[in-house]
Amino acid sequence: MSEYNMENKSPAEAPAGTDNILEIRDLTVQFVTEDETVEAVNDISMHLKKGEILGLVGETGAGKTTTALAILNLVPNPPGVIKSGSILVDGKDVLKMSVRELEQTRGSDISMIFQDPMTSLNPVFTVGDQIAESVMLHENCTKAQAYERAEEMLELVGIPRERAHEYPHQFSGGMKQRVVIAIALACNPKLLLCDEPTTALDVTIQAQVLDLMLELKEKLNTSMVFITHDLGIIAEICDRVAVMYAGRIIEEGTLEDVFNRTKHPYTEGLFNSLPNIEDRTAELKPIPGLMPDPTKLPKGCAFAPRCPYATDACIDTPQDKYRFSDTHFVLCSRYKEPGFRIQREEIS
Amino acid sequence: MHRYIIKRVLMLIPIILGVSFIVFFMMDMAEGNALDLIGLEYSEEKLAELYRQYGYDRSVFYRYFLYMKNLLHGSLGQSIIYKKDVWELYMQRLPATLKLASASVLVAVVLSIPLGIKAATTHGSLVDNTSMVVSIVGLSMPNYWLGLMLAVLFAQKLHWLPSSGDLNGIKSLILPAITVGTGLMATMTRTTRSSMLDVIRQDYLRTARAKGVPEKVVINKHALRNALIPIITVVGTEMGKALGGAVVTENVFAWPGVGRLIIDSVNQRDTAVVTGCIILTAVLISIVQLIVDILYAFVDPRLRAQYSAPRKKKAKAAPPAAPERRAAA
Amino acid sequence: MSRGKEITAVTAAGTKSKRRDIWRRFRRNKGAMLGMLILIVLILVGATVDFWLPEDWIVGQNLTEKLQHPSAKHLFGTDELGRDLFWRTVYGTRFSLAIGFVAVIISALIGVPLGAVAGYYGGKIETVIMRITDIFSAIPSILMAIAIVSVLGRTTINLMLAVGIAAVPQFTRVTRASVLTVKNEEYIEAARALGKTDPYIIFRHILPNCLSPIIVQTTLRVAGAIISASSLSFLGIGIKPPTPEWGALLTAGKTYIMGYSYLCLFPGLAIMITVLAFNMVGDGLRDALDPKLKN
Repeated sequence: MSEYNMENKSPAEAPAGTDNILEIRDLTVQFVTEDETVEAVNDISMHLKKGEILGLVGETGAGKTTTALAILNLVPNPPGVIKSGSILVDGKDVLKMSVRELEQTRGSDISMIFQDPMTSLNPVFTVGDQIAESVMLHENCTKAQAYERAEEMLELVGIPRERAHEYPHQFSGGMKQRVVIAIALACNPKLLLCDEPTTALDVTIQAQVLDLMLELKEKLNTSMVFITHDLGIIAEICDRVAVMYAGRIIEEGTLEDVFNRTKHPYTEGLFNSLPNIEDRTAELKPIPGLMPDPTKLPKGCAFAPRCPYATDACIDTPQDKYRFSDTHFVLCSRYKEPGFRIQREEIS
Repeated sequence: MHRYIIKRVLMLIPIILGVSFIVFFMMDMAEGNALDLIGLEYSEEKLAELYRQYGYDRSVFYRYFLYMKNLLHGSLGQSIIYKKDVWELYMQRLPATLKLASASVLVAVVLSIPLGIKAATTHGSLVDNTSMVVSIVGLSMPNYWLGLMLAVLFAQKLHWLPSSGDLNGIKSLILPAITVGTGLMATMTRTTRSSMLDVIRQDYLRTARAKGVPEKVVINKHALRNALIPIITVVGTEMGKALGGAVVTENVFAWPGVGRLIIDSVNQRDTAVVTGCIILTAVLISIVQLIVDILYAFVDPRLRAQYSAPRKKKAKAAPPAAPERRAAA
Repeated sequence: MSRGKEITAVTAAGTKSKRRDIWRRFRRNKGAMLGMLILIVLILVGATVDFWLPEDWIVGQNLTEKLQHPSAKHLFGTDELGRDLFWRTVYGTRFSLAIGFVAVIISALIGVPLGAVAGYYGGKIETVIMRITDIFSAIPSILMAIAIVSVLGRTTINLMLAVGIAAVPQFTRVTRASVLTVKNEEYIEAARALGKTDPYIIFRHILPNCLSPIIVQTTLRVAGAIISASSLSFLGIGIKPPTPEWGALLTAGKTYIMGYSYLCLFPGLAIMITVLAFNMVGDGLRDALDPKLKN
């Protein structure tokens, strides 16, 4: 058993350095309406090194998509409000950029792939047009050159270039998603945000898309934030993992850290709820209960009501962050107690 | 595409038959007879001869049969009152009506589409609420009253614009076009607004913004193109209304169009003119609707497939069906 | 309880709490509430005016007071025969409202069953009914109304018939569209499985559930009917002067419009306000009955 390193929560955690393509510090995003306020993202900090793939895991409603949108400063303005924090992309704070700067950054420095390919493409423009538009916005070139690049991108994602003149409805779901990827990559972004890009696709296509992502990382050294709720995908392509719950990052570490040396009860619950292929007759073990109402988050740990290790203290007091190593930390006050551990076995 | 057009043209035939049947019988049932009105012009024998010629000595079915016989030979008959071919009369008046209808639709489109877009993008704001109120007020005004009031203000009091006739080119078109246009504006603004509101929620706009497309372009290019279909539908319907219903405005402004011809002929029981003009108006409106439907294909590539698809493959793509035009009323 | 009664009871119970929700939503719409207020006033006036308005004020001619501009004594001024325009306009409410309501009742009585039958049975019946509707719609409604009045003669009842019949296609279409959406619901199948006859199903189960668009359409069509009726009177084909129907007042005032424009201003305003009230209420109903449609 490794030594527990106990530290109180400190502000900006990210290891400093120009190595980071993305640094999020103390980000809080809320959705404010007449009736209520949704606390979507609560004081999170994370970083991403150049050429790295960070997996962002969590259930629906955990705040993953909102975080990604915040990176592009695209959180819909009424009703979304960025209450605090900074997001540095390659050193520049996205939240402080002017509209013009944002327009230049989006699509060329930072790109996003959205979840549902069926609705992400504009039905009245050709696929080639939609890719070329991105190129023309960000690079100084002629229409013909842009279109040429569009065709190249299509080939890159495995679609015959002749199909550039076709419309989205003429493509299947998997191919549509590949078009979306082509659009996102057209201007060779430094940072690629992928919001559950394979959720809407069937498994074989999923595999193709993931292979494509890995290729990109190798060939172009694209840094990625990969949002998903599928642990299998994380295992396949991510270097580091951050687990989100109710708007907070409750565990973060390298792939090994999180999978083999799981520390947070929630993460443990996620692994436990996976069906065991070796033991088909075993009962499924879902995490009991539901994620709390984001308009009424508790003062203490948001996971406490569902946590098998929760104590009264967990419910009342805000959680502290505890580091296990340079790369691995968890947001759970029970680790204050020496000797506390969860049931999941560690695998070295 | 061609097959589709031919199919639509063929569908006109039952409409022409039906319309002619209904109108002819209604006119015939009305009390009075055009021949009686001008009877004094003719000698007794001549009158009797005319009676026979037009079939007034026989049943209404015989008269209809004569009418249809004529129609099949390509003729719409003759006006008893004006003593001219119905076709000629119609063609004489049509340009004025077309001018008015087009100008009105133009006024309405130019004003209502930007307004509708603005209302949608600033949902809930003062502009939005005001434009909705203005729309509903415009819809509620009897447009001949608006015409009268405008005429009083601009023609009589301010002497800026003429108030009758078609003699001064564009100037005399202004008041009538605004009068008719205001009524059209209401529906167009509301449709533009609601169509844009639907489109604004769509994911592909988010994709466009994530690409770095400036907001203005997102709205005016990415969103508007998709919102166009219901808008075009409404423009088509309103154009139809303008063509058929500018009747009252033509009266107010003494505009020499088809509407007045029809009303005068109804009053004079000039059956052939009424039947012929209404048939032609119906055909004209159908042509406008056909043009609208073809325009859909240009705007929405999903519909293009539906039009030119050979019969079997029709079920393949699942694009939005060409919208139920009337439900939009 | 028999199954049939159960089904109906469940539908009814759901309706009662829905009604409260609908009313609540309607209340929130200020425009609609204002419109409703105006309508209530107008209906009260129109229904009772015969009883309290002295005939003299409406038809009494007083040539010494002719063509006076609006003043404290004559709120809307006087016409060419010295009659007070304000009271004439007030009296005119009764015509417009009566024509509006009756015409729409006629439209609905014909159009709704037609649309329901077309929607429910489908197939050839639907095609025939809808084709005929298309033919009638190809004729612009004003012209249709004019033609009908020419056939039947110029009385108020015929005007109501004319305007009513001209609006039938709208009702047919809306009803049919509505029926189509309700037709395939499960409780309809259940009713059929219980052996209920078709007319029973249509009237007892389907129509009550399609009421929303029909109600909205009714309100909006009253607005349309009032405008159509006044247009016809304006053209000289409907109600003739000296009856103070608003359209007739307008056409009478037209002759003196140069210099005495108030003669046209006020009757027209009356039409506009009435129609506006119906439109606002109709819109409010549409939003309240199906909030999903609201934007």
